[in-house]
Amino acid sequence: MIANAAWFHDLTAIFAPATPEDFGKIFDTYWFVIFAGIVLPAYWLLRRPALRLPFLALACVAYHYHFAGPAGMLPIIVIGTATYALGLTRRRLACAAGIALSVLALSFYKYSHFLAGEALGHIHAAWGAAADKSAGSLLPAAPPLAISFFAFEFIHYLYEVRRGAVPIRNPLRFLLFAIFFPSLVAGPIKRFTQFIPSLEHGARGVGVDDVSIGLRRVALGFLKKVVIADNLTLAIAFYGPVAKFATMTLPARWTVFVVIALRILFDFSGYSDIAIGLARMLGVKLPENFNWPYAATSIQEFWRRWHMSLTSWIRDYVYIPLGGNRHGIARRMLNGLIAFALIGLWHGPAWHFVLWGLYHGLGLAVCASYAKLPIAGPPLSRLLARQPIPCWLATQAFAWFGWLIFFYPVVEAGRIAGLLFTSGA
Amino acid sequence: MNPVEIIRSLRAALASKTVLLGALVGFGGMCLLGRQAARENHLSPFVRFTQWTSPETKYYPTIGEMTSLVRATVRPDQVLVVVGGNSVLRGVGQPVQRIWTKALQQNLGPGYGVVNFAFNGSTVTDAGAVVAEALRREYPRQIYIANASPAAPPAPAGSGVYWFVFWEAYYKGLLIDDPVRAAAIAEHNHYDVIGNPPGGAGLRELKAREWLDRLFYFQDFWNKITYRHVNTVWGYYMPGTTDFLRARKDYPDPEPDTLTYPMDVRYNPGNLAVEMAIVRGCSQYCYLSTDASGHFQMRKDASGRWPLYAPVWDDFAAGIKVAMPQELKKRTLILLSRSSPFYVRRLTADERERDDLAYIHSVAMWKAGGYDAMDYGKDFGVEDYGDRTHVTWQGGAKLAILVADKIREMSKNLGYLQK
Repeated sequence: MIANAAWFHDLTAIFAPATPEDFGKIFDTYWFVIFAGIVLPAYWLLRRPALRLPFLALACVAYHYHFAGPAGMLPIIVIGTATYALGLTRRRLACAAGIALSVLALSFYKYSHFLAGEALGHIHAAWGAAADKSAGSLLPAAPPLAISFFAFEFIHYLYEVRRGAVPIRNPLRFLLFAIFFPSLVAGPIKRFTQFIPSLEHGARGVGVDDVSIGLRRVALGFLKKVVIADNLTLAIAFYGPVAKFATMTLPARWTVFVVIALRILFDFSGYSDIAIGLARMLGVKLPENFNWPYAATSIQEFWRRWHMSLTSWIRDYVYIPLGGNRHGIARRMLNGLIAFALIGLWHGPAWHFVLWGLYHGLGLAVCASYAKLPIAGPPLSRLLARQPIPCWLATQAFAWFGWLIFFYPVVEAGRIAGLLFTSGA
Repeated sequence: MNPVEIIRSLRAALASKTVLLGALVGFGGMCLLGRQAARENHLSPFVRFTQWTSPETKYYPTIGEMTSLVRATVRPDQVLVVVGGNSVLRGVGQPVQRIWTKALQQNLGPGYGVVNFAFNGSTVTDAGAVVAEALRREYPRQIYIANASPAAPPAPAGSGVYWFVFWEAYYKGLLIDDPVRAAAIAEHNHYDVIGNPPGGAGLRELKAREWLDRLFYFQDFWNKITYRHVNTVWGYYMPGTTDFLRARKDYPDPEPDTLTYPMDVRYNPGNLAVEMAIVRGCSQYCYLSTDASGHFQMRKDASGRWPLYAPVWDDFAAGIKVAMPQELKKRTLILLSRSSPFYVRRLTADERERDDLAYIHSVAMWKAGGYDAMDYGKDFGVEDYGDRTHVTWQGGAKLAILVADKIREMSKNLGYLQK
């Protein structure tokens, strides 16, 4: 079930996980199997909500402690406590300060090296090196567990409180919102207005339906993740590097190209399925994250189906506050590009992630505006509306070529793409 | 709620209960099948573990598989001879038909049953040792064979690449409760399994797997599926990408016959410097002294002797002491494999003397530690080796004669032949 060898890690390191934190070793650890085997039945046996929620909180703390360690828990304790306290004030300025704290923490822990070495370094090499060195002396070896997820959830929380939503008063409920173990490491990114009622519903009673539906979802997730994605990951790590790719036949190259796209879907959606299923087994409904994205017939539709909790977060807390589509087509396109660049950057501190985001931002802009082109736009739009198969092919080709930018450094992605259309090396 | 809704919700509830019941029955059934698989020998025909049945291709043989194989192939009235150790004893470079353990079985005759549980890179305390220990009551007349390098302390049990066999047997209660070994394991608990995060987390995780397997037997279940029916895991060393689903029993033993290789392939001139450094290294660090300024000196002392470097030998002695329970040491034969004369002849006279001394001292140390030990290869020819350290089947046949003689002697001394 679990592969353990240095070469495996070396080779799989070529392909980063589909989300910022390495969630590839949480749900499919034996520790987690034992943890779930104890926590779920105990939760079901504790019938009273007054006992269930404290027990669940305790379990979540144990889970976080195990995977993050005592030092790794500190950031979420500090930022979470500040978020909770600032939210209770319901003051706009306090909430803004809390939002700034989460943004700064995320930037510091995850993007310091990138901002110093890659961004500042390009402007002034010496300054960049000095900043990178300073950051390196302050940063832990790895970013705090799940910071990309909890920072986004805290920002959402304070943003909504700032807009007038009622904050979570009960610290236990806030703690569970912050470190709810099923969604802690790989999402989906929760909204507290939906999560807290669902949590309370689960605490009041978990039905047979919840357990059965949840179990099926968990099984589906493990099938996708362990049986399909993990095998594909191995195959990609072996055949994916450009040097190897160049030696392959054209059909084999296209097979690897398809496998790359399938692997990311099964890996990430498998993990989401496990998270959603586990939560459901506790009687809690988490938001959906994937809805057959490879069935989409347009880029807009693709993004309505792919990593939905992230896309909707960026829409609500970046795109719309920037002005959304309210200030003309140029501003709309700019806002879209910023939003998608951030989606890309969220996946990791590297230029190719940003480029991947911009690639999709541009695709979306073209897709959303071509119908408004003079003369050719309307008839082209009508024609494509009647041709779902070419639209599907074009959409998926666009998205799947995008994975090359996502996974490979830009130059290598270009070489791989080129090799798909030539039989030589 | 109207009747239609009531029926619908009843049906839904029933469906949910059916799913849960199905999951429970299915899971329970798989555990029972796993338990059953652990008790039957499905590794058939078996001569040795190959790359298809080892961790190289994500196949982790279980203690149940190995003990069942012994029960199926060795009668209780035979002396059980378990061959452990590394690629040398696994017979790398020897075709399966002419592997040295077959010759050993022939030399020993029907009174003995030989099984080869050696793995590439395995050490004295790994799989073969664990299997023999687990079968100590069923096969009290047993001899365990492993190989080692001069002055190399055996890895603490359960800490090497083949950790999984030890911990599986440990959690299944098959091992002797030995406080000395337990203390050594506790001391080395921070050692991690290759490829896992530092700090012991990987080892803890893998112990959790074996603890769970004690309850559910999932490893035996999946090993049987993958060996006999359909392989479920792809690996880099699988033969091709499309046919990896084939059951592992269908893959032939891929070991080549290095006796057919030309000498420049066996002893690649391009690797001469590296191989010579390894051969020299076998004894280089065992005999050192320090000068007045504390610098190491690799030369004989004033009396013309090679000075023993105490830290190396002390470590060696400490490792020997805790490697296995006292009662199992006397039935353990440690083979010290000498390097091919192709390289040994290229050492200086002094280096050859030092090399020889390292083997002699090491054999003496193992014996002093309660084991039996012998070195081999000093009188082997260049053609008996397929490379620096692995013998060809021709060299293996010579080894089998030496080892058979030793086993007979040990059997006599241990009182096995009087029964």
